Amino acid sequence: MKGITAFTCISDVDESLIAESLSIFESPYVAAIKAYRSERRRAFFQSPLWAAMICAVVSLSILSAIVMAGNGVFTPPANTTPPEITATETDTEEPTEPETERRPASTYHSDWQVGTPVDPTPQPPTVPEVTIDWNGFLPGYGSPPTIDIEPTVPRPNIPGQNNSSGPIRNPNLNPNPGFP
Amino acid sequence: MQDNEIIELYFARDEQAIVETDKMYGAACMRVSLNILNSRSDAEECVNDTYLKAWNSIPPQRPNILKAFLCRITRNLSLTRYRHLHRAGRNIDLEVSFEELEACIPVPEEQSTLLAGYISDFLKREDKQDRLLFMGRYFHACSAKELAQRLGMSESNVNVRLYRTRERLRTYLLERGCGV
Repeated sequence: MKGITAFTCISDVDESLIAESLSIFESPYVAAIKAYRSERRRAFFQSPLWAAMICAVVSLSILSAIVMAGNGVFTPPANTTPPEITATETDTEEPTEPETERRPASTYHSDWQVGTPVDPTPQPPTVPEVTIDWNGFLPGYGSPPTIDIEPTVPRPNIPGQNNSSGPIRNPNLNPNPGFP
Repeated sequence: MQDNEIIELYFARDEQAIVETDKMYGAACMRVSLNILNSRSDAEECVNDTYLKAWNSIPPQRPNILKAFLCRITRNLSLTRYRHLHRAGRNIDLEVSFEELEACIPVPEEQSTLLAGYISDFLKREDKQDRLLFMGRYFHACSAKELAQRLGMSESNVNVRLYRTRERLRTYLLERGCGV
């Protein structure tokens, strides 16, 4: 345990150094934010903007108070009584709405204007005309490729063999390989 | 709650002071103790002892920076406990810190306060980064790897800067007649 005395001696260093060293354990983001805020706060209070803002707020509040006092906001006007509401014969009658021609909902259009009738029937979609040539290919895409197919060799009719289906076999070959 | 309010609670002998201290600085004290003792249960006991010591010492003392005051108490208690519990290889990294410091700080314990004053003066003249590294390593007992991560440096850079700071400290103390 050599050196523990020297290590213990560090405990007695200045408290400001200890407090500063504790910033190591704050995350860099938090430390940066704190430094930025303190810097902003100091700059704000040192600037003449602070005093100007206080003066502006005070003068505005005084001015608004004067204006409101001049308009009589604080004192209600004298001899003002609310108007009496009396029922008349016309009030008892139910209001009649003028008959207006209602247009159907389907005729609504955003550009609808008075005097421009809109045809309610939907227009059928227009199909573009496509001319197809006799080969069934679209014009302009060339002609169909030609495929050369060799004519099929007529199957020889060999007696004793099944000639109905299956691959064409050489009649000279042994049909049963392994046997003479 | 601010430091002043917590200190006033201590002066009023209100037990809420302990609760508020734990809320504000419990984690910081725990970290200091855990770095030294490397055992959570031992560290928790040290932190509790810190609160007791703070309770007993704050009246009449009135710390300027409560966080630093508490960290110092925790560190001293943790080192005392470390001496008591010491076994070979219990905390290898801390042993390395002891040996590093022993090379530049003289051992006599009676000059502890004077030495701490010299070290404080020396650290205040140093670059902030070097100061943080020195305090992180030799006050908070952080490993070079942890410091590198927290301060965004490489581990070798941390070691090199610490070595140079120790060399400067050794020269500084030699000039004042208390070098190794």
